[in-house]
Amino acid sequence: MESQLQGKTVLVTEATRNFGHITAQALAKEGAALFLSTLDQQVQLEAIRHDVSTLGVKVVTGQHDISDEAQAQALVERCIAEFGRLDVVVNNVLYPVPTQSLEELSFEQWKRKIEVETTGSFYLFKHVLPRMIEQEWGRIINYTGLDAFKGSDLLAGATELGIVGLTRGMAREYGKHHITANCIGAGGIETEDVEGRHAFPPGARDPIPRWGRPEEIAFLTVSLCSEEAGYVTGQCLLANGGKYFL
Amino acid sequence: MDTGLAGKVVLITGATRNHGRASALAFAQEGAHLLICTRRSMDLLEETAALAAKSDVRVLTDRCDVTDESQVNAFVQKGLAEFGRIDVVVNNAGWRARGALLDITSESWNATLATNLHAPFLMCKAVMPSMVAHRWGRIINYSGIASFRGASGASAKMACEGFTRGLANAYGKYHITANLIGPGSIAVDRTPGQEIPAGQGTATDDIPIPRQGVVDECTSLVVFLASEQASYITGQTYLVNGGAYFL
Repeated sequence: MESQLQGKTVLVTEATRNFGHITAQALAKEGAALFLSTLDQQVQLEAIRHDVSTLGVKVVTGQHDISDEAQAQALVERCIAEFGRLDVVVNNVLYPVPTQSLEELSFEQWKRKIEVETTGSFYLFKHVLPRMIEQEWGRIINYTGLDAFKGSDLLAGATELGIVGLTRGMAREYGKHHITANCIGAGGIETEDVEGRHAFPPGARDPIPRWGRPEEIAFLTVSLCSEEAGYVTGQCLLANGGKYFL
Repeated sequence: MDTGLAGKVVLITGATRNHGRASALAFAQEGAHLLICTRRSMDLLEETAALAAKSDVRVLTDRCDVTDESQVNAFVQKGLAEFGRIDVVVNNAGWRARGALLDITSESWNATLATNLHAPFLMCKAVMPSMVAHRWGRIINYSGIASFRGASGASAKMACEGFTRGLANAYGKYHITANLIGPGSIAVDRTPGQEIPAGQGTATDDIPIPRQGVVDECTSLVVFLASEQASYITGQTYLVNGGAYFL
């Protein structure tokens, strides 16, 4: 499937987390130039940059904490300085906090995860959207997860459903500029436990009782970037082996 | 229907007018005692208390900024000292960031997060030990139609949904339920600056029930969800919106 990303620039935030590496590879194979950012994993990010650039595309990296609006702005400005355009944002932002009870979870931990993932996303899109509006084209892909639907983690569930709200908002508010915003909700992917995210191992009662593969998420991400996906917006696509039907 | 609320203790934030006041009075009529707060409208709060007291229940009022952890804890401790328990929490205090994403200032964004998400977290965290100890509880949080139709300013309410589902999952075994009510277009008094700009609210002319709702049409649901009768309902969202959006 041709996704027409040749000549397009894609920003992948927190590209060291979860499916970031495999997603960057998949986007590079479609010809996209890439800006990969991280909050604090510069060494891991450099390894990814080195690997993905062998696919023949320009890859630039940066360290930015998007919970600081000035850094979110600087991130977008750097993209524009390096590439002259910003067409797609794959917002892989994640600030892992171990699953805890309400009693154990401090207000500081609660606030910090929300600050990075929810407010950080708000600041990021505040500076991304004007560029996409100028271009009259854009693709925004955010990630949610199973905690939002199962209630299995009260903090991750909050940020995961919060990003769905922000995605629907942007979809409604900016669709007229040929900008689509969608969420992909992964659950039961084999990389989960590595990241310290709440893992959903396969269960005998799952419709598809196996671990999911990161490539199966990257496929959806790349598909939503395409021109053909231009009529899909404000949606939540759950790739979870059928563990939850939305 | 016997709600089983007589003698129970109900905490309501922002109980000065509209949904908060109406809920307070409705719970008082069911014989529940009240623990109610406001950030800055103590005169309106005392008015609510006076009206509720006519139902021969005890009412404790206090000033509390629900976004401040120490004030929330102090308010809850005061309530526990007075009543010995808190059975129902209605996180009614809310604040909306209006306009599309690019029109929302950082201040407005952070204010809406604090009131609609951090405040329910703080209040539930403070009250939960009492509910767990007594093996009974009801948490009612507020969503809204905007989160479903799509409004960036309503992201905090959507996040509160996720939090509430987490509460439902974690505390169901203690006979504690947590649900949300999502009012649609309801005729309420609005704080200056919180008016809905023309064209942004839900148009009511062509929704299934083609009019605005009234506060009492939401209050009945709040009382029901808090009642003994609703003991098998948890983690749910109910939209009271004249059918403007089907969930």
